[in-house]
Amino acid sequence: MRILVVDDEFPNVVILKKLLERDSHEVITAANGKEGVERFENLRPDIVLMDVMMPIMDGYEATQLIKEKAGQRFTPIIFITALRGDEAQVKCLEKGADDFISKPFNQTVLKAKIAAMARIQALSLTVQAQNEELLRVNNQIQEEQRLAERVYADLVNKGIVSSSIINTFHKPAELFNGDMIMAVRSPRGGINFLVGDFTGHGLAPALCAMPVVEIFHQMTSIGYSLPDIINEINHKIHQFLPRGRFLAACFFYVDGKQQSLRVWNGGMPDLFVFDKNGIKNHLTSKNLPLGILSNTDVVAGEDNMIFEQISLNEGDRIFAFSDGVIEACNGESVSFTQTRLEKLIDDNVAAGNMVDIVKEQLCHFIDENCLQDDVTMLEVNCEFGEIVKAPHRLTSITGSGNWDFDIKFDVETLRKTDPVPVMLSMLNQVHDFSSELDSLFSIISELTSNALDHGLLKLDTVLKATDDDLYQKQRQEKILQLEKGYIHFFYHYQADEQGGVLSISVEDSGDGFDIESVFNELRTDLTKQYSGLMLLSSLCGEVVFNNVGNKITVNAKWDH
Amino acid sequence: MSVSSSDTNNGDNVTLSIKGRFDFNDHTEFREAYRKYDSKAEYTLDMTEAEYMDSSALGMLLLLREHAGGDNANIKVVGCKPEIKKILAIANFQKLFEIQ
Repeated sequence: MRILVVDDEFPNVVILKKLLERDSHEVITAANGKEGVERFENLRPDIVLMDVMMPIMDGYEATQLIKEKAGQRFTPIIFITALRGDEAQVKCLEKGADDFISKPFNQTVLKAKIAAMARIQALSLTVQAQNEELLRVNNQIQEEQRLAERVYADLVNKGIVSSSIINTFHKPAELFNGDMIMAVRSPRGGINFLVGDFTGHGLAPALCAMPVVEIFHQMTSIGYSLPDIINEINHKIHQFLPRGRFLAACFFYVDGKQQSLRVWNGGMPDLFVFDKNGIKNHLTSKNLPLGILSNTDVVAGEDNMIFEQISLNEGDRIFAFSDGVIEACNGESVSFTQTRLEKLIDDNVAAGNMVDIVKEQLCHFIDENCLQDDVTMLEVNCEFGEIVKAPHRLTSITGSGNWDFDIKFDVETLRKTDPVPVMLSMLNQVHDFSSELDSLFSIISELTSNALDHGLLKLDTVLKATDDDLYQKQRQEKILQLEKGYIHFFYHYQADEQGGVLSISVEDSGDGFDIESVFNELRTDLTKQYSGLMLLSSLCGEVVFNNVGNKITVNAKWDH
Repeated sequence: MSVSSSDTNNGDNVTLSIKGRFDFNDHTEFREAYRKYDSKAEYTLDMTEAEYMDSSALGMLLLLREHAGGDNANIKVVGCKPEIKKILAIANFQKLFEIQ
């Protein structure tokens, strides 16, 4: 070790130097306090032996300066003193000495004290290094957390369609609480909602929330319906989440055209529907939360796909919430409870924003200004006109040229997938159809069901109008029995100055039909059975059939 | 919380008893309690003295189910107080466990 000896008495310096050098220390010397401080600055010794009484600058002052200059680094200073008695020793320690040795020197004691100081110094260095490391890691974690919070907040914001009919309370800033809310417009003419709650807090639920948001957003935007979306999300989080973790979720679709509500509740509290007379429907959890079963599990199929469908009236309101609302506790460990929440809603049906009312009463109940971070609420005001008008937020990479593509689905593919979202997604990749998504979805849906239901399955259109349940049942059976066949779609886009024309032809492998007789019927009797064709013609103008009746062509024209 | 375990029939029938609050603090203790038993055993989770359970505790039941053979697991949950029964019912755990 490098040791600095500061003493104005030359004989002392010589003795100490000899003793220390015998133990292989490197010794530097100074003749007074001032010189000692200078040596310290230039040569940075590990330990300082300091005399007290010296000319120019005494040991006390020099010690103070050296301690200042050493900063964070612990530099032991041992006083050399002839002073005896407790008082003198206390003063040394008060002035910043770490230890002292008395003259005359005892070599064994000196050696032991130097070794002890060296140990303390080593310990201090380790602690200091660890502190620095901790500080660095801590800063890094905080920085990453801030970044993750931003990514998550962006995702959450992107996930809620902005509309005057939706009220929410959710704290994306308290990032990893595991709660999530989503509302995304579907081209089917309604909005898909998700209110969810991952088990646990922290990184795992936050990471899993990201694909959930993406899948929900993308699949909803191109017209997939809830069962497909739920299956896909379950598949994804079953892969990602550690065992024992899951996503309790309530998915629901508010259909602005049919004026109905379709709900899948897996592990969330009841979803309420209320009107001016109070709560009228409780939609209770009937499914296991997501991420528990793999998609191939036996229970995963029918058993965990239990939906409830109810019809809605204009002005009905839907209220969804996480268990944080009813489990919020006050100072006496009494929780808010579902009973209190139901009464609160029943008593305040006249109020415009139920989320605000519940938030206010909950704060009042727990007697704090700030709610727990796992309180999440969503309210939907069923104004169907607004629901149908809510904006799409589908992003696409677009070009403005002309293009063609065709795609052919065989029976096997038709059994397993819904071709409409698949094609909508492809179309939107090459051209930005987001403002025409609703009509495009309707056109392609009609063309597809026409080709499949009538062309391939030969279902009776009259039955659809009179008994839709039986019709759907027959459809299910027939599609399973169908052995071969195809539907072939041709798309051709021609850009022009005003916008463009998308021409769509659909050919199926069926026998076609007698066009003349259908047209004669249409002229005389405009019943519901040809409502599909009527819709197509209202959206596209002319509907052209080939002479066999197994190929339809329509031209959809949009102005910019 | 505390978990105690006992077995009969050479470890073929295992009973795990939960006392107090059953929540995220109990992961390690609960895992230690079942891990020493064979995955083919019949498990009974005695909740008579359990006061409360949270969603982490539901997760622990899933881990026990996995230990006990997943779809082939044989697990009974007995003695649940109404509040606990409600939590199990909301999560529809009757589809995975025999709840008495």
